Amino acid sequence: MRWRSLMHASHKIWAVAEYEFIGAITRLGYLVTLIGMPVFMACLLALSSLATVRSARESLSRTRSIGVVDESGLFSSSPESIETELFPELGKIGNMRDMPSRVRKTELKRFSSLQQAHAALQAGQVASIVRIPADYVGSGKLQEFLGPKREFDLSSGQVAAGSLLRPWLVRGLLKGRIDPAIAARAADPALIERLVIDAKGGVAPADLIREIRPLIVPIGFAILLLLSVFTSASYLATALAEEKQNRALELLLTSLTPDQLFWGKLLGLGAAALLQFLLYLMAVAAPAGLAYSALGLNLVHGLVGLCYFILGFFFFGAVLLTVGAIGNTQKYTQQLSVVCSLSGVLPLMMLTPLLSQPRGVLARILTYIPFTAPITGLLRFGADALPWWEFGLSLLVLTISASLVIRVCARVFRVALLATGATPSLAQLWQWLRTG
Amino acid sequence: MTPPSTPQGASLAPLLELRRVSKRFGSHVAVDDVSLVLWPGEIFGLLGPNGAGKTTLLRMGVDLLRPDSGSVILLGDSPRPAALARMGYLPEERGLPTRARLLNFLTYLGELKSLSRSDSRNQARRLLKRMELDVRETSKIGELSKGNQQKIQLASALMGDPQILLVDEPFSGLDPVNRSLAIDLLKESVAQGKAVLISTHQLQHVEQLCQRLLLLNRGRVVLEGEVGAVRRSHSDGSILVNGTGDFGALPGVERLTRHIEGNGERPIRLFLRTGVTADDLLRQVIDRNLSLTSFSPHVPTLEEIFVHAVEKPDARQP
Repeated sequence: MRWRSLMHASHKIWAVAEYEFIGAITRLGYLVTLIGMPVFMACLLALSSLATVRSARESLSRTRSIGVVDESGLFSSSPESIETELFPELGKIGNMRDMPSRVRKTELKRFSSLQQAHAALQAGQVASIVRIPADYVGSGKLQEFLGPKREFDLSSGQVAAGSLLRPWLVRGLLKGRIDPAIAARAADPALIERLVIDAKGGVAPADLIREIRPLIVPIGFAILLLLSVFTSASYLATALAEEKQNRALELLLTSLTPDQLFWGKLLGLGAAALLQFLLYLMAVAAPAGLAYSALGLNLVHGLVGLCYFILGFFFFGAVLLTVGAIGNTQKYTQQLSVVCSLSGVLPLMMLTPLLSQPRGVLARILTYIPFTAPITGLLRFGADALPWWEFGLSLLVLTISASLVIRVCARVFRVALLATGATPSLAQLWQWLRTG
Repeated sequence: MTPPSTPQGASLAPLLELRRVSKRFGSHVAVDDVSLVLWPGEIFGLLGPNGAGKTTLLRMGVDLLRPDSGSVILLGDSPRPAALARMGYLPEERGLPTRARLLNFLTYLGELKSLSRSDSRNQARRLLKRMELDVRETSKIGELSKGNQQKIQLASALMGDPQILLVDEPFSGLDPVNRSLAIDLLKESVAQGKAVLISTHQLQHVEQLCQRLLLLNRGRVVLEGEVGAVRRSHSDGSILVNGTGDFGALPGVERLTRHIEGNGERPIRLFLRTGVTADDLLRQVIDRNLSLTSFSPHVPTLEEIFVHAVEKPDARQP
């Protein structure tokens, strides 16, 4: 008998879950988020990098002119131009590799007086003027004059001409006084090759992608998780509020219990969110992992993400489902949903302290708070700063919290579904919790 | 409390019983000590002004609300999922998921009533055909007219072939043709041995459809019983006559008024003196050779009884 009623209940839960799942994945909003979001992000990234590269190329192709007024006479035989290599690390990255030249040439125009130089600056013939005073050797001071209008320089930032001139000044000061090779080295004394010693003692050149991996892998996973969980969980809440508002719920609740409805909706929408997460994972993480092996993405990342996803969805889904049941208008439900969602996004707001100290106290605390655990856990795991025991403990805390929240929310849900009128007070919610 | 009455000829067990149920929301008593029995093959009318407690009573009937006291007996037992699946409910405040497609939504409801998917789909198709909406089975509910949405609401209540139908204002928003269709559907259900509990303000439908009724006011039962008996019991003994002559001069007549019938006829309504019966009056008419084309006791309409009972809540039926 008990077995039959269990089968009966599971049949209904399955029917609700299937109906909600199909309803969710065929609605326009889901499809737009599923397909549109990665396409939008990819387009945005492509456009942004295209614009940056284009601008950098244009900037590099232009010869920058700096006016020099050498009152010290120390640099009269120094070269008339400076060549500076920009973005030395960019040569290792994607489309930057194709950039024809990352060497920027800066022309130095000499002026015999400051007045002449000022006129040239105002006429736009030079970008700035550097005055080398007569007592330069004693004081070391230079003056830089800038024009009233300046363009933002993407290729080298707003580097002061004085800094740009540093190797030129060193070479000029030492010319003819010491060995030319030593003079050249003094001008550029530190050509650093960065090497990494791995766990086995092997030495390999440092890789930019590997260096930023602790940043992009966890953030990438966290964003995927947030997108999947919150788009579906928020839909869950607003759809329920709509059903409650238009009384379609009464019709459903004559055929099944609030608990069956609760579980059916949670599972159905959870499956839709999981599908979204897996598709994102395949569309974004897998190609990224293949393209950049240095990211070190592997199946473990996917599994850890999946664990946090499932528990995170049940936790937030139950909370948001209850929000949908409590809210008497869609607007009110949306407002409450945003508050709940923000609590989940909190770790991303604290990204800097979390990633700079992924084993710190703050990171550890947030790993065990159910609202922040999924994202913090993922951030720390991606940064290789989540030991297995902490991962297990965090999942355990999340599991217990999710099951508690589901039980509590189901109680409120039972009563709240048929409640109409004003939004309930805290006292009323407490009463529902006791009577549900 | 008046014990629940049994309709004539009913020999089967009741399908639904509400035994002395009460429900309060905070300090407001919505339903107070109400009993009701629904037998197979009957249409039962639940009447009452707005806020009388009808919807709360129906909600307790379908187990959406649990009574604070009293009990609900469904198919001989306390409401259980299997028994609840044999009920159909049409709530007063209608709402359907506007994005859902007709056939899919009805099939879903059938599955929730424990039908297999294919059975549910077949039944949904039959109902859509009956509702003359079969050509629109793939349309979204939101694309239908208001009247057609009402029909889908009724179809939703009929999914799963329920034994008991609890319908709240089933005819509101329907045009005469669709109202007639809805009435036919309810009559067909009853002919198959099912029971229907209708909550409505449209009293002519209660007179037309229901065998028994229960009138609620402020959560309490004001009157109940068979429709004909209720009407007769509220007769004041006056007589409606059509004819010529001075009926006012008859010794048994205390006063007379012109009565306007629903069919437009205007018979004379004669109020009798104390102790004078209809037989006495008829004899007086014959003795005085008054011309008479009709002579019948006046039986008040349900509307008159409703207004009287609601305006004078203490005037409970004996």
